[in-house]
Amino acid sequence: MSDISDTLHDPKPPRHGEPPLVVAPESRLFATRASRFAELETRFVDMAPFLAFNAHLARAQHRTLKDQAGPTFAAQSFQVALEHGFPPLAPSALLETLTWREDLDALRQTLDAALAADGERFAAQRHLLSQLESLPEETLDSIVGAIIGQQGVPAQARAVAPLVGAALQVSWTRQAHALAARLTRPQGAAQGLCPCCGMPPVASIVQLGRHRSRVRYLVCGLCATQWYLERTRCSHCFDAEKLDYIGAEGPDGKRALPIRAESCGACHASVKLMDREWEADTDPFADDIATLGLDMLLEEQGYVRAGFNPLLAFAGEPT
Amino acid sequence: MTIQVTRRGFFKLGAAGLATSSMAMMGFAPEAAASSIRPFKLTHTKETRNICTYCSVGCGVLIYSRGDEAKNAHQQIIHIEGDPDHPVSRGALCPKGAGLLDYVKSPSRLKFPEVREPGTNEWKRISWEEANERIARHIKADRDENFVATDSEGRTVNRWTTTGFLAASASSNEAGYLTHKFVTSLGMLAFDNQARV
Repeated sequence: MSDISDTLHDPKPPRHGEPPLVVAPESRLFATRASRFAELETRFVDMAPFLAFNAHLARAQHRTLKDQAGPTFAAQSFQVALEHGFPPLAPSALLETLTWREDLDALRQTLDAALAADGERFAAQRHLLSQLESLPEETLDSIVGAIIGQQGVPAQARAVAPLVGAALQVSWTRQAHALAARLTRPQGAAQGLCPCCGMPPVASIVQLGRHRSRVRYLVCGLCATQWYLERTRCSHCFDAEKLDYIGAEGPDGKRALPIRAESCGACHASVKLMDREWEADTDPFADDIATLGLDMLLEEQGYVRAGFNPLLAFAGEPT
Repeated sequence: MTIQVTRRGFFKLGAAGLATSSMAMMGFAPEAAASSIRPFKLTHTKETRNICTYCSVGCGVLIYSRGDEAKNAHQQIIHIEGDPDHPVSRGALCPKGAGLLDYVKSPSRLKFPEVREPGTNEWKRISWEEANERIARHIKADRDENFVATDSEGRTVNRWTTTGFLAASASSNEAGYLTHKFVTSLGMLAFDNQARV
């Protein structure tokens, strides 16, 4: 992966005074995510072990992204898709082309070494990694199918699914990094889906920076491409009338979570919203996992979790 | 509600959903998710689009309001910021617009009609009905007295030049149309709009 120097929060706009409509994932994406996991670990102490594990996972993703080379494509490879507004990196089309199996192997080895160096506390998770190594090919394929189809993962494979999801993220982020500059904002009913790979967002970020201060972007759950969507609109059904931004505050009346959930009374979907003016180093995946407890409370309020985070896997058929 | 491109399903999360999630199956206690949020209270905020009313530019604003406990509780405005999606202002606000929240919360903000009668120095609160009636009475008295139907050479002019009208800047096209109809039908000529100021 070429070392493109990208300004963290301030990519160039297409025209003066307008925010960029699609923003490529940064090359240090997974490294900054790992730092965010590590920071959240000190704030959400109950969740600390899980967050610490995810910090290791994100660091391994960063290493894998740097060390492995994905396939390269000729510039015109995606021309037809780009001309017609189709997401060029649709997983259904590229599963056999992108080298996610190699990325998964590298990720597993890097993570295993890191967990081993962290003493005994991740012994159970190291056992999972050896399970993953001996997983039959068809089981692996079915996990991948469940992730990209946003289906439940069968119980016997559910524990390793997030590791497979992490490898897919690496493979797709690598390609998205080069491709996103050629993309435009998705149109019509596809506005809620990634213009790069067609997958749903993990969350929204209200951004910082000279060219996109306070502008909202959806962040792809798979390839981490960011794309523009107007503020104060449901990212699932685009309704603007019945939105409730649900956050949490402590007994002292101060903000307790780094996020709010943009919850829609029209379609009952709830997608988390990070605000970089609240916390500049927020990461949608890390903050989503650290605030899993909020999703449970939202369900009691009649909303369902609509963010797509392949670092988590759930049971059964979705409702 | 728009038709969805995908037929996405969502997972029921709840306590049971977390207990069978990958988090639990990887060997992490799923109860941690619930206990991490237990000490906290949920807050409900709304964000509403609007237009700054204070000059002719008409910058877009986002108004944050927060209800109390109950769902239909009275909403308090807690924050106002520029609307980054607004084509005119792209999220920018001048110092006046940036201070909108202070206008809203100002203790000296006028919240109802008041009148200071001739010869007094006291403002007296009156009802909207009374305010409208008094204004209408003044307008009619002045128009009855000063309306000019024909000029010195007998040509019909139907003009009324002793009263002027300054319309607001943050009106829609429709409100502007109605304002114009109302003002010109009275024969008023001194007519301007703050959008030109």
